[in-house]
Amino acid sequence: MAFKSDMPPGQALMLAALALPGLGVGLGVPDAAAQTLPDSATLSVDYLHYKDEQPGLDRVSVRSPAVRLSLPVAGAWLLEAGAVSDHVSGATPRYHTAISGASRMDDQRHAADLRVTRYLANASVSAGAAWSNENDYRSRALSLGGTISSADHNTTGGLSLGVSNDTISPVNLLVTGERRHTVELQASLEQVLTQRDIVKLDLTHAKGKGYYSDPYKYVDKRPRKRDVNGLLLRWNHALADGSAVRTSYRYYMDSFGIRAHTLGAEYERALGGGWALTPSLRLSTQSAADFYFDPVYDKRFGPPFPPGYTFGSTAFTSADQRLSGFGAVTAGLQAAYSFGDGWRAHVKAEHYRQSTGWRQFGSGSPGLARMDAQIWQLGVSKQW
Amino acid sequence: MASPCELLLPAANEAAAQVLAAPAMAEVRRIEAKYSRYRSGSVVSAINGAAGGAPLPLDDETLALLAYAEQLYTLSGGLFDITTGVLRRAWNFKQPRVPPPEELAPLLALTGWRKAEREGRTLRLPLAGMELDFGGFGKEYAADRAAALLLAQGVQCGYVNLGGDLRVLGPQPDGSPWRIAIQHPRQEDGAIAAIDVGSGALATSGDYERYFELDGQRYCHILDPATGYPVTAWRSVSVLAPLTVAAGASATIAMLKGPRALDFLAQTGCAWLAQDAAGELHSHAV
Amino acid sequence: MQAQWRTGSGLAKWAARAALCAAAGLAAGCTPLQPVAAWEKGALAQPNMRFDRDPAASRYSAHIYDSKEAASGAGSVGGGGCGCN
Repeated sequence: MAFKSDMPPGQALMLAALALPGLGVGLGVPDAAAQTLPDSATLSVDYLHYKDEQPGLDRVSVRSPAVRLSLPVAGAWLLEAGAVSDHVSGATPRYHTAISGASRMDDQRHAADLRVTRYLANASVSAGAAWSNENDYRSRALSLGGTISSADHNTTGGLSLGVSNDTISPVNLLVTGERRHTVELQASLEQVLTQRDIVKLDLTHAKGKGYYSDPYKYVDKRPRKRDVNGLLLRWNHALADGSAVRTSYRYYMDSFGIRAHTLGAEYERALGGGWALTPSLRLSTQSAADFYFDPVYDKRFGPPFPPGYTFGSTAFTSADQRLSGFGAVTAGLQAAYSFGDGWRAHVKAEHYRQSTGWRQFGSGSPGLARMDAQIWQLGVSKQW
Repeated sequence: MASPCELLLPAANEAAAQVLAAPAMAEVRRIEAKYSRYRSGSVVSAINGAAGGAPLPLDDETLALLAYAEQLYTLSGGLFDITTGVLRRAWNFKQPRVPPPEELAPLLALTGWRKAEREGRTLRLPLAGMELDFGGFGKEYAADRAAALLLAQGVQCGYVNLGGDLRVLGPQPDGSPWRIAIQHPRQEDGAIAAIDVGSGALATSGDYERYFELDGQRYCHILDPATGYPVTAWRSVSVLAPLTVAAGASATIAMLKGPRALDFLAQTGCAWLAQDAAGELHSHAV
Repeated sequence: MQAQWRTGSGLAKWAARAALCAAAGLAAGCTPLQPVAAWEKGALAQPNMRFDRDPAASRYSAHIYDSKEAASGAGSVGGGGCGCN
């Protein structure tokens, strides 16, 4: 075995030592980059509970049992599968945050996804499919992706393509058999910076055509296309005591005129005795969509009609709170316990608050009530 | 192996521990039998016996170890040389006698790794009387092989200790690291430091293992291949590395490098501790 | 209110700006640093250092934020949609 003459002797010595027979086995040289086959299978079962409200109105409540499996097969393949069942019930405003006449619902959504990945020495290829069914919405999606790593696995590039087709048939029959078709392209770069730092950049571009309006909201007409650009930057840092800080920044921009920034941070710390605590914080801010209108209504017709509204108009317009300008904060805490033998249980509690007064880089949309949500997650997993 | 060897690992009971340790102990004995120059049936004895004769075909394991020795020779700038074993004919550490240069000259003529002819899967020592000595890394190799076998059986705590070359498999069962004492080079029951090791290897090379003292000067068994005389700059060097072969080679090469040892150790990127001839301690990341 | 969208050239400008920021960020972080060797990646291999630390939880969170805020995705591709937004 010959080395490059500029390799430091210490590194050359380690490489030479590793080349000796039968020593690499059991050495457990870990490969940190995601692009290697995990050496153990994991099955996890979770129960998720979401509840939101605004002053004066209890809104939506969602209960979701979910199961997830990650199974390495034959030393080169990874099978990942998951299924979730959302039971949604409650009331949502039909326009802005108006309480009266809020629409009630009781809905069930079933979704499943599957992904198969083939790992090669310095690359991987994967294919995935996802299904989602509700009484008024059906979605089917397919994706294909690949990654390629440098020889030392410190740099990994990835490219993936996804296509999804949605069919919308609202129960109020406002429209029937409407469709939505989206193509997404994502390029990613993962780089090991130091022994304790790894960063990942994901750039996404998506083009969508079809029905985007919300049929359950009064006066909601949205463009029949939506192009999205996103940038996600993540940085994981390992501290000397074995704890880790995971941070992320996402920039979102779409053809509805929405610009959003999201910052997230989590600090996972082992407390000894198998316990680990992870406090987390998420801050986000978004601008309103170009066609969103504030709760100021037409003088002739009153709410929910926007000023100057004419029946049969084809102008884009929406009173959906989710398209308004606002800032939001989520604070959460997760406690996890490892029982040993691969069993792990965790419970996570988060509180989310969305408020137009919290918007950054501009003023939030006026006249909307604040929204609060409580999110609980309980999960058990087994690794083998 | 003339030094004490132990395997420490946790198990449900004595019988279970024996089951886990047996393959590792068998592997250590196998390597000793195969590479000891004192055993007539060993590969090393066969190589040395064929010196001055025909090329000897060798097995994969021996070829791999010779390739490793070649790399250590290159990395150390010719200081780590497995053909220098013949010099022990002039140095008998049980008698305090310093051989004169005229006595060393013919023996030095029989040393030199570059003289060994390696072609394909064969090795030939061209001059009768030339010898190979795997003592410089044999024990460390055995420690790593034993560790690999234990790790493959799922052992996650414990260590393999072959005569002071330690390969730690994992921390103590409660998660705390093993506290390992570094032998004091001048006090038999003393230590110069205690290092916490959770995993990896700790190897020490020192001037106190085999030596004699004459007129206040210590003569140890680590000989400079250029002169045939012992190195004097360091009393002991200990290195922490992921593998025992790497730790042991680094420690020995550091001893051989003399005044330039610190530069070499800095380049290994490992943690290390050394005591110089004046008794002063130097260390990095320890 | 007309929905304004960047034309092809505008998108190219955006993409170029994003790539430049990313490259500058990565270059500033990477070039002066020594490549990390395989046996030095012990800390990076810890489970709490994975980007997909808890896949079930991150999917669920992503689903919640997709349905309560306008911004979505950027972390993964091909997840499909739902009627909640």
